[in-house]
Amino acid sequence: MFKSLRLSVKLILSFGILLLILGVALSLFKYSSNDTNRKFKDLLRADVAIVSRAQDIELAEANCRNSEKEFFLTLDKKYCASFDRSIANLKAEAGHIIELAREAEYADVGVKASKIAGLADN
Amino acid sequence: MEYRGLDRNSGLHGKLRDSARQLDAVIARIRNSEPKILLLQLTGHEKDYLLRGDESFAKQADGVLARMTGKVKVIAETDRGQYLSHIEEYRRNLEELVSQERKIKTLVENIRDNTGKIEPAAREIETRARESADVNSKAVLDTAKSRTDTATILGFLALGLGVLIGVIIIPSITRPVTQVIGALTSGAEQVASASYQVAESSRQMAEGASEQASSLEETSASLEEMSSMTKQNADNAKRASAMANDAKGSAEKGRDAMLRMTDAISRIKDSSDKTAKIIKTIDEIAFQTNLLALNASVEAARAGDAGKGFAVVAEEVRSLAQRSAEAAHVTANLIEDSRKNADNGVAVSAEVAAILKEIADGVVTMTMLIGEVSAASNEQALGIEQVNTTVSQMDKVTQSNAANAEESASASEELTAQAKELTEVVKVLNGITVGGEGSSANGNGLMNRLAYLSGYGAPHDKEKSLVPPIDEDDGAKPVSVERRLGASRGGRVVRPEEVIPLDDHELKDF
Repeated sequence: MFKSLRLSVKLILSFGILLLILGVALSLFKYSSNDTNRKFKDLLRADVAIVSRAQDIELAEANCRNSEKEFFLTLDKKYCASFDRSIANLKAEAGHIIELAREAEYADVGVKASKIAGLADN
Repeated sequence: MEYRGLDRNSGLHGKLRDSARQLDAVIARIRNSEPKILLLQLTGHEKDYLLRGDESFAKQADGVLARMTGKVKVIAETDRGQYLSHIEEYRRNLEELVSQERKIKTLVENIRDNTGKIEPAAREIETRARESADVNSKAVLDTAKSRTDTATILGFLALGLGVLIGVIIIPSITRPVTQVIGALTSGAEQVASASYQVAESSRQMAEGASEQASSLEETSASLEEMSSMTKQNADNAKRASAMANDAKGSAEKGRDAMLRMTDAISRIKDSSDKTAKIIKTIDEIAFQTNLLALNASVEAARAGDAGKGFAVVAEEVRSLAQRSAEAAHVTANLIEDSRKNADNGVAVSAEVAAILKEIADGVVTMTMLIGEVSAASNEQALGIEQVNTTVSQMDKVTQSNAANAEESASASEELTAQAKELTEVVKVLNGITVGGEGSSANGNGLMNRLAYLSGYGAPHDKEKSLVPPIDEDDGAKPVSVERRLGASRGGRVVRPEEVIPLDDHELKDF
């Protein structure tokens, strides 16, 4: 079948087919790698970030409680400021979670974060 | 909270205490202790309220304030206004304090309630995000694994296809290339061998031509020398002919002189014979004289003393006779020897005359021969001049042939170098095709050489190249030997056998 072909045609065909398949394989591998990286980045940017922000909210909430109790024990105004900073942090983290939930299209998480922000405002 | 007061002297708390102090100041100016007791009860309820937060103490304090208002009659008239206003102020402050405490309590409860709600909401968010992260990471990993598997399968497919292509395509490529390489190798070897033989033959021919030219030069010089010597021989022959004629005359004169000398010797012989006869006569006379002297002696002896003188004379005569006999005898011997010598001289003279005659005859013959030699020398000189001219022409032709042979040797060496170059290129091509030596290290050299051999480029170092450009007028583009020979023979490619005679009959013609 190949005897009638010229040497250059044979070489071009053989290396072309090889390069085509290798190119497809490399492209697929590259696409897979990029897609995996992108999804993991999304994961880190959305889910993992939301988990981290939620933990930060819990931390801010604990700080609020601690500041409240310290204030009523000592009636020192610095604990009011600490309480306000913790509330501000909590609201900021809730705002981040709302934004992340909107990007990741997690409506329930956004609602919960909005609720937390509303509780912090009250 | 600040409005409420963070300590006893600030906010509503402070105002409440100020009102109490002002009431205490007003009450202190009266002697009735009942308002003082009521004031103490009021402050006691106030403290209970502040300590416990129970609004019942505030209501009790409010009742005490009402009772204190009812006790306004015990206050001096001048202080009553102040007293009532302080009570009213205390009441307002207390009510405001209670109101604020109630708000604070509500606020704290609200805060506690809210913070109590925030924590589970945050927990829910965290749990929801963790679940989502687990699901998403599992999905990502599953997708990545699937695509990696697909890429791996494609890679193995490409590998298998590469092997298949190698199995199918490579032999179809290498087989004809190998055949071409074999043909090129064989051709290159044959060309190398032929060019080597041609170069060797050309070299030998050049050496032979050089030697021949040298020999011809020597021959020409020898011929010139021979020509001059032949001319000199001809001249010498002429001179020898003249001298032979002179010798002929001298020989004839010598023969005449010899004849005369023979006559003279004959006469000397005759004279010697006559002298011998005279000497014989003298000898006989001496003998007779001796006999006479002997007789005289005898006679003297007989005479005695008288004959003594005579005896002495006789003895002297006898002695003289003996001496004359001896002298005659010696003279006879000498004359005999002279006669013999004269005879011998006559014979020698005859012989010399004969020889001189032979010499004269030989001189004549020699004169004739010398004349012939002179003529032959003249002809020989002419022939040598012609031969010298021919040899000079042969010398020129031989030098031209030597130059041509050197050019042929040079062309053959170039052909040999090109054949070696072709062999090396074939080796490199063979190395590239079937692997082995020269497959990669000489890749650039191969391309340069192939470019050079194909006429589309020159090697890197033109001076170091094994095959320098032949045609300088054609610029940097190299010209092959065949092309050069073809160009010089009217475009036809001429084989080396047609340029250089290699066979004996061709050499003979050459």
